[in-house]
Amino acid sequence: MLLILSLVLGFQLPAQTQLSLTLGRSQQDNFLTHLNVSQVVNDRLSLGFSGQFGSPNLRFIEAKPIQDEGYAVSLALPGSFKLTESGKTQVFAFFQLGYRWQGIFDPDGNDMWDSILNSQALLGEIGLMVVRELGPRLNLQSGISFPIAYELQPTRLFENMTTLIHAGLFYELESSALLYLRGTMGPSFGASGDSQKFLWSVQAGMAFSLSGSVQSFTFPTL
Amino acid sequence: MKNLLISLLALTFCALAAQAQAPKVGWFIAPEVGGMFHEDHVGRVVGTSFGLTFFQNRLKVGVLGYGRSGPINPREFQVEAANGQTYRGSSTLTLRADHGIIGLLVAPTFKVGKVALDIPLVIGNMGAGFYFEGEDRNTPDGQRVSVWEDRMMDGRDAGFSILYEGGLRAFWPVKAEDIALGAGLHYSLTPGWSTYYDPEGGFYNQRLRFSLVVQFQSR
Repeated sequence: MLLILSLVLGFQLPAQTQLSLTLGRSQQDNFLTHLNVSQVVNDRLSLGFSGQFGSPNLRFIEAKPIQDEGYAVSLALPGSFKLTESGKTQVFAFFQLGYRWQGIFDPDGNDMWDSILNSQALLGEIGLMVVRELGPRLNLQSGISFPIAYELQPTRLFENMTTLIHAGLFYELESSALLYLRGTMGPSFGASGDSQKFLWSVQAGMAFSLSGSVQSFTFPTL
Repeated sequence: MKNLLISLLALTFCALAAQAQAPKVGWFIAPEVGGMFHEDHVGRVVGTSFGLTFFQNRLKVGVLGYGRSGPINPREFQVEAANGQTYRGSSTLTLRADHGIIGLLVAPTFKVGKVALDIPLVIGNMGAGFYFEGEDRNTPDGQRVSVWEDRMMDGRDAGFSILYEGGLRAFWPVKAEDIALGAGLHYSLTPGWSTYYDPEGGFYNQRLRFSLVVQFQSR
């Protein structure tokens, strides 16, 4: 539904609009899908909207684990700013501000969906990303970021702060479309050590521009 | 939260300086992996550094963060629970070690032929501890696992200290001067850090580690 909505919205937006769809697996999710629609505001600035759905592998509510069950949905407003460009290298600063809903449908384990345990959290991320041209169609994207999660309900607690390193290869199919494969990993801390201690992800995706050439920077998943 | 503020300030500083386009000020971003030489094993480490370069890349100033995280280090450690207690029917606790640092990095840099050498000097904060793993994270009464870790380890399951680190790294340019592969050796001091498992603090204090780095930098 989100995909269809975003595609419809995307096609109604003016030029210089970019879509990206990412599928992947992570420490947090057995399966995740992430859709981003971003608008190139000018030479340097892009702003967007993204949605993500994950089928949890290991997540936390009130700093207690939920494992291999439930859902995790998030919406975010990402933005990127090209700091500098020199030769074959571009450097972007990026941020994301998001909100996450996650839960399980059978917390008491009686095989009936007669109760629900869920949580809401504020998400944020800042980072720096380098895009380096390796060949006529191939780019390397690598960088660092600091994602955070702050649970608002049912308990207010600092769920996680992570230092992530990123690495990805982006292959340009044509000037308006590219395929990518990327990974992230890094140490994580929060909730007095009760939540994630290390995050990783592997992701594959496709980005395309509705007109003009596709921008080489794409937003990471949350 | 303090670490987040340091990172935010550093990122802002980095962004502003990159915008200033001063010819003698550049930037670097350097993800790294590595290992830490403990008494009887090598711990796996993931980290990153980023910041600015001055005097035509002769001095780096930035932030370094890395962690020897428990989930990528399967080595387990055993200790008797405090005060004769038992946890899930056993008086012996089986633990993993988890660690992270963040600090200010200053690295004088010089070149020997095509190889760039730097001397990374770090002062920062370090936090590390020992935690229950696997089924032991399911507590008998449904309380958070940190409550039981505190109880079983007399409130000293983790500790914090200042970190001092010095080292030497070598960087080889790849294809062009804006990407370099690096390798380094570092010596860490964590005075005052101690935990219930390791009251002397030798697990991290006076330790050697190595790093393998991909450094992106301005020319």
